Amino acid sequence: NAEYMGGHTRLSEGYSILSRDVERIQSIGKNCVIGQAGFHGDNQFLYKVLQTRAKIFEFDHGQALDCHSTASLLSNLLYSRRFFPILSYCLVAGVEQDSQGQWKGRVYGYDVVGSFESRPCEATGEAGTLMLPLLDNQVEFKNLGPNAERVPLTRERAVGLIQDVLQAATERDIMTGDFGQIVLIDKDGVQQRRIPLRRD
Amino acid sequence: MSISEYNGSAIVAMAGKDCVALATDTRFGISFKTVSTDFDRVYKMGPRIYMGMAGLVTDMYTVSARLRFRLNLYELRENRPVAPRVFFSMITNLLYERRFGSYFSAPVVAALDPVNGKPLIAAYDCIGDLEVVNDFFADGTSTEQLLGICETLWKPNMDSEELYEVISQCLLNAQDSDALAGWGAQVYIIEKDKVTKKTLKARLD
Repeated sequence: NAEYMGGHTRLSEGYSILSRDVERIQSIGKNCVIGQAGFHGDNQFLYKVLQTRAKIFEFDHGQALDCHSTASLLSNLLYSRRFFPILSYCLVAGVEQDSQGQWKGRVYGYDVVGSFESRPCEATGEAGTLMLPLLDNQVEFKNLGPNAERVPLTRERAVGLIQDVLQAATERDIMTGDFGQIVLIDKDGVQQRRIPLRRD
Repeated sequence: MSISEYNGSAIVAMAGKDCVALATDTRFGISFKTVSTDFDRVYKMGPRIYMGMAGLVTDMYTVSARLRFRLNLYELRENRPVAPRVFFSMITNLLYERRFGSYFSAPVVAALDPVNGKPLIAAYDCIGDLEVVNDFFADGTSTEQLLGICETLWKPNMDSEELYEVISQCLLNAQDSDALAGWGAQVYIIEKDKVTKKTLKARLD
């Protein structure tokens, strides 16, 4: 019934830092956010296109795009550039109501040409491989023995986990750091938090 | 696929309080084909010195055999088991001899200092750069995955039980994200009075 996404705010080119304050997670609609890794130029372009398409949908249909529709739209946008890809590794996260009216959280992970899948948790970007194993272990309880404690994922724990993986990625990946942007999405909307990360 | 990813491996060493652990996967593959699922990458080089080797398997065999040769001669001459730091230098020397035509395999050594019982982890690249680290080190095709999860789960001064749990979870979850490593895991926990080897059940894919 809630989703959490974390990203870092450093923009680097080679071994230089271009900016310490780039927001990589942006909203689409009320209950959905898109986080983008990869080529920053393509990220900005893609976000503009997606936002415009979401607006057009609202004007045409009188209601906002919900999360799985946004995810599907993004997949089609990416595949339309199959032979000259948009180098954007996206994550779409949001909450939506299912057929019983329950709010469910969803995360969709993409590749650059639009193949997507809804998963319990996902990590992408340069440091994605550093972060994903821990999330598999703590969110999906993989490789835990039958007697191991499976701690339920409350808000505090989720935010704590995101902070932990961002800190771990910052330690070991040179391109990650400066600030962490953590976004919490529930049925009431989107809240943002920022945590400091190592600046080296 | 580069030459050091040809066979696939996952190795991690972690230091605890007066104990050290070394864990590896047990897959041996040739490119994307898995050939063996019980492949041993760890060599015992002293009573409390265990060396795991990542990278190209043929070079793993050659380096470990040449190292064993030099180690045996040392022990015959000195009439005592080799001290860890001396052994670390031995590895550096052997690898750097091939500076401009290197072996594509790098060791990760986990040892206990015989004098004060403190853990020692020796990390190398394929040309013999030695760094003695005091937390953890990872190598192989799953290096990034291992570093990420170790960074979060490791803490200093763990006893051997907790160290075993932590290193096992780190290896299992990291090798699951890597197509070229996995198919089982072996963990060696090295303490002052004993060395325990455990085999873990892992995802077989």
